[in-house]
Amino acid sequence: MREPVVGLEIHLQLKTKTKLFCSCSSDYIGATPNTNVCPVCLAIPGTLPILNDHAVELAVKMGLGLHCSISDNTRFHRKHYFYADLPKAYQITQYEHPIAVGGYVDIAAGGKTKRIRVHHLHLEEDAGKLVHPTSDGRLTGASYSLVDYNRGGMPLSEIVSEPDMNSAEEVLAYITQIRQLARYLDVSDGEMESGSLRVDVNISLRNDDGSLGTRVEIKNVNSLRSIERALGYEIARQNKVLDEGGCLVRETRLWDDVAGVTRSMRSKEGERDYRYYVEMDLAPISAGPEYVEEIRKSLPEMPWEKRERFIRDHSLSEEEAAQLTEQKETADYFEECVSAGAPAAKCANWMRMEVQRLLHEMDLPIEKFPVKASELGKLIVRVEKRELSNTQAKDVLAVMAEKELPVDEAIKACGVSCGKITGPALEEIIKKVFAGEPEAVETVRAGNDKKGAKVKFLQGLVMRETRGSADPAEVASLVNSMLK
Amino acid sequence: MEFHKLSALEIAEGVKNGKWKASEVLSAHLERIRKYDGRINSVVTLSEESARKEAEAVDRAVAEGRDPGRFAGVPFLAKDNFCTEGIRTTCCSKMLEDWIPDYDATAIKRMKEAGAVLMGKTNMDEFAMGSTTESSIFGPTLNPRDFGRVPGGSSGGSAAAVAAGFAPLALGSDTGGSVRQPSAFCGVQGMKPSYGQISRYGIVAYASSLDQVGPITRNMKDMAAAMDVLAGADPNDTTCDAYERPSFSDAVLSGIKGKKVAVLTGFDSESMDRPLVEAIDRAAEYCRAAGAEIVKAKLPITMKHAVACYYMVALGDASSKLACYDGMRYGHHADGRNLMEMYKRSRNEGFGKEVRKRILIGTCILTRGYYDNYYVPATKVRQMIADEYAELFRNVDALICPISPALPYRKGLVEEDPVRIYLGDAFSSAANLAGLPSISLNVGFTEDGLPTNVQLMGPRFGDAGLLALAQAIENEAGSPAVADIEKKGGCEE
Amino acid sequence: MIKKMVMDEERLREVLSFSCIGLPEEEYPEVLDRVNAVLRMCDEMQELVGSDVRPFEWDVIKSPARRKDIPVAWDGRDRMLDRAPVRDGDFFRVPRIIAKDGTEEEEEE
Repeated sequence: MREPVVGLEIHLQLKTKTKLFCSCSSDYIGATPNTNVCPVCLAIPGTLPILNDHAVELAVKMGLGLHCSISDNTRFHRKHYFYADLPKAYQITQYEHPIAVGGYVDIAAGGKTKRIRVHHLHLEEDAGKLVHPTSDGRLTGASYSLVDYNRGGMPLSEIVSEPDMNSAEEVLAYITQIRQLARYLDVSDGEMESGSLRVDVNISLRNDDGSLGTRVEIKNVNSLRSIERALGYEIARQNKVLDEGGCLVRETRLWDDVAGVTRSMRSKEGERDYRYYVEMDLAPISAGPEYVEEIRKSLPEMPWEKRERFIRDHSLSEEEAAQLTEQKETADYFEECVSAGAPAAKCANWMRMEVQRLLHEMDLPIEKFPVKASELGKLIVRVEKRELSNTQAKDVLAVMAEKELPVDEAIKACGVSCGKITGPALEEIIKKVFAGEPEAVETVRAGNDKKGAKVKFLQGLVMRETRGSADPAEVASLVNSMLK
Repeated sequence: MEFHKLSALEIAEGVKNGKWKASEVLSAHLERIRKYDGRINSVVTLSEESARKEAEAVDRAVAEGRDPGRFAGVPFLAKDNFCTEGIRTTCCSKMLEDWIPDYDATAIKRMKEAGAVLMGKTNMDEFAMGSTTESSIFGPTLNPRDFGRVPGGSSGGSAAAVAAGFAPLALGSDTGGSVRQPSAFCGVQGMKPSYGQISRYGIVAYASSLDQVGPITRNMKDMAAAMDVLAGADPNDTTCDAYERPSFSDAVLSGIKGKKVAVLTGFDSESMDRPLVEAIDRAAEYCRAAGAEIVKAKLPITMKHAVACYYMVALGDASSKLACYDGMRYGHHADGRNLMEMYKRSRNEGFGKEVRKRILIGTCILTRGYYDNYYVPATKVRQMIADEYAELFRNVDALICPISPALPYRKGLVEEDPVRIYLGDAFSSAANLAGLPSISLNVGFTEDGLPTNVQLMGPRFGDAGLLALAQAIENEAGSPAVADIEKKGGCEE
Repeated sequence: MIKKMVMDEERLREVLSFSCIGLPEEEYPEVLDRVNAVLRMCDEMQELVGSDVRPFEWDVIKSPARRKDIPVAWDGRDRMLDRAPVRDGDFFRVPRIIAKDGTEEEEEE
C-alpha cells in the first residue's frame, strides 16, 4: 500500500463587518440576493478597490497564530478568468507576496504530536454564488443560471499547508486545529456547514521508491465526514489505477457525497493560464514591524498554551485539558468555575460529565448555557463541604439550568434542605419514623432483632426522610440510643 | 461680450463680482458649441438641462452672498471616460453606448463643488486607445486649427473643444500622453500631473498604474487653479497620495530665477518635424530670459525603451481592466447559447477593432512564457526609467523635451502607418511610466498656423514648480488664442 | 540574453480564448503581424534586466488611511438590476453554464 501524501488549502472567511475591498455588509447569509452589493463589488467602470483594515489585522493575527512570519512587503495580484461569479473577470488575491509565510501547526494524531508545516497564508476576495435552477435538483442541462453577488468580495484567508499529512486522521486533526485557532483568535467562525471554512484537498501517493505520484485536487468536500470519506475513496482509487498499471492524471476531482465517489471535472489544467500580475489599483499593504508587534501583543492565549497551563496549574490530565480547551468558551467557563473556589479536578469532572450532558440535552453551545460558571463553582463548593451529596447536586444543577436559577434558589426549589440535619432536628425525624413503625421498634426493644435487620431498616427510613442530608454515622448512633 | 475668449478665472471673477451671470456665460458657450461643433465633432453629449441647473445654482449663491467657489460659473467639458451622474458615459465605444453612471468621478465632483458647470462630454479614441481620436463610435474629431488634420488623442475632443473656444477648460485622462499630445496638436495647454496627485475614482480605466486626470486650458493660471481644485486625497482611491498639496495658484507665479532647467539631447531630432525642434530651442531661450540656467541632459534608457515598456505595461493592464465588460451586468449584451459564447459575442460586438487588438496583445504578454520574457522585464525597465529621471532631477529642477515628434498628423495616418503613431508616444509616455508631472505647453504656431508645443517635466510631486516654469515660458511665448473656427467654412478636404 | 518569442496561430487561439475575444480567421495574419511587431519592439528590454533591478513600485509620500470596517448600504441595487441585460427577480441571469453532458462549459470553483 502506497503512503498517501496530503496537503490542504483551507479558506477561512474572515470575521469582518464589511467586504475585503468595499463597504458592503458581510452579513450575507440569508440576505436577499444582490442586496449586499455596491459599484465596487459589481465592477462598475471607474470604481477602485479599497482595502479593509480589519481584514488585514485578522490575517496577521491568524498568521501569527500559525507561527508564520509576517511579510512587510506584501502585495495583491490579479488572477484572471472569465466566469459569471467574478464581475471584474479577475480575483484580487495574493500570489508572490502573501502576508504570512512559513509557519506550522502541531497536531495530535495516533497518540503522537506531529508538526504540519504551513507554506503561507494569503488574503483574497471570495466569488459570488451561482444558482442553477433545475427541477430535479441535478445541475445537468439547466438552460440558464442565476447570479448572486452577495458573497462576492467577502474576505478570505487561504491557508496553504505543505504536503505533510499522511492519513485521514492527521488531516482531520489539522483542520480541527486550524478551526480551533481561528475561533480562539476570533478571526473566523470556522464553520464548514455555513461555508466559512472550506477545504480543498491535494492528495498524491508515495511510490515504494519514495517518489511522489501525480497530485489530484479534491473539491466540494463540505464536512469533516466527507473529507474522511473522500480521502478513503481517493486513496483506494489511486492505488487501484496504479495497481492495474494505469496512469493518474493531474486533475481536479469533485466529491459526490451522495454517491460517495470523486468525479473528474473536465480537466483544463494545462490550458488554463490565470495571468497573475501585480494589482496596481491598490497601494502596497504596510504591515510594518510595529504594526505586527502591536497585534502580537493583543493576541490571546493560544489553545496549546492554555492546554499546557491547564495541565501545569490545574493538574489536569492531557485528555481533560484537551477537552476543556477545545473551545475557548469552555476553557473560560472552566476557569471562572475554578476561580469561584471549586477544586479544578472537580470542575473538570463536572464540566466533562454533567455540563456536557445538559448542553447536549438542551442543544446549546457553552456560551449559551444558562448556568453561570461562578454558580456552578458555588455548587461544587457545597458538595465539597458535604452540604450536598453528589446526587443532590446533580438535581440542583438540572434545576439551575432549566429554570435559570442561582444555586441557593435552585436548592430551595429542589426541596433539598440546605446544610446537615443533625442533633434535635434529627431526633425529631427519628421520633417521627419510630411513630410510623411501632412494630419494628417493639421488635428491637424486645431484643428480638438478632440480625439487626430491623435497626438497618429504621436507619434507612431516617436517611430517606432526611433526603441524605444527615450524617449516616450520627443517624446510626442516634437510632441505636433512642431504641434503648 | 465674447465669453468664449475669456479664461476660466476671468469668467469666475466676473460671475463673483456680478459683472455677468453664470447662466449667461453658459448660454454663450452652448450656443457656440451648437453652432460650430458640427465642423469638428468634439462634443459627443451635451447635458444642457443639468448644466442650466448648475449655473442657476451658482447665480443663486452669488445673489445670496454665498461663496460660489473658485470656478464659479466656469463651463467645462469632460472626456467621455469620466463617470458623470445621469449623463451617459460611453468611452466612445459601442460597449458603453447606453451606459449612464449613477455617480460622478471625484474629479467631476470637485469641479462642481468649485462652482464649475459641466456642459457635456467630449470625443475620444475608443476606451482612450489611440492618438488621433479617429476610433470613436461617434466619428472622428477634427483639428480646429486645421480641419485636414487630427486633433491628437485620445483626449482629442477635450483639446479640440478648448482650442475652439467651446470651454475655457476641459478634463482629459492621460495614460501615455493622451492629454498632452492632443493639447500639442490643438495648440492649447495640457497637463498630466504626478501619478497620485488627482483621484482616478470614476475614470473608466485604461491602465491602473499609468492613468491620470489632466486639465486642458488655454493658459497656465487656469491650469494652476484647476490643479488646486482637482488635486487631493480621496478615500475612494488609495493610489492617490495623501500628502498636503501646496497652493498651485501661488506657485505658478513664483518665477524660475536661479532654477536649473535641462534640455533633452541625444535623441534623433533629424526625424522630427523641424518646427518642433525649434520650439525646444525657443522654450529654452525663454527660460534663460526668465533667469533660469540651461543645461543639457541625456536619458539613454528612457529614450531607448520607454515606448516598448509603455506598451507592455499599458496593454497588459488594459487587457485586465477591460475584462469586466462581459455583457452581463451593464454594457453591450449579445445573446449566446452558453456563458462563454455570450461573453465572446458581447465583447466582439461591443469593442472596436483597435481595442480588441490591444486586448489581445495585452493578454498575450501576460500569459506563460511571455510574462517572464516581456512583461516582467518591462516592469524592471520601468523602475530603471523612474530611477533615470530621479537621478536627473537630483541635479536639475525641470526638463524640456518634445511632446510629439510630429506636427498634427494628417487624417487617416493611423491606417497607413500605425507603428509611426506608436512611436509618437516616445516622449510622452515616460512621464506616465515614472509618474512624473508633465506639461504640454504651446510656444507659438508655424507659418501654416499649426501649433508647436514643448513638453516640460519635473520630479514626482514637483507639480507646483513645473507650473511656475510653464508660466514663465508662457509669459514670453504668450498663451494660445482661440481657434477662429467660425471663419473656416466646413471641412477643408 | 534576448529570447525572441514569436506568436503563432496556435498561441493566438489560446489568447483569444483567454480574453474572450473572437477573431475571424482571415484577420489572423494581420493581428499576428501586429503582435509580433510589438514584441520585436520589446525584445531589447530583456538585455537590460539585471537580476538586481526590482520591478517597478510607487514611492508614496503619505499613504491614505485605510478603510475602516464599517458597513455602508448602497441604494443603487435595483437600478443596477433593472439595467442589467437580463434581470430575473433578485438575480442577474446568464445563459447556461452547465453543459448537457454534466460538465461545466468552463469550470471554476
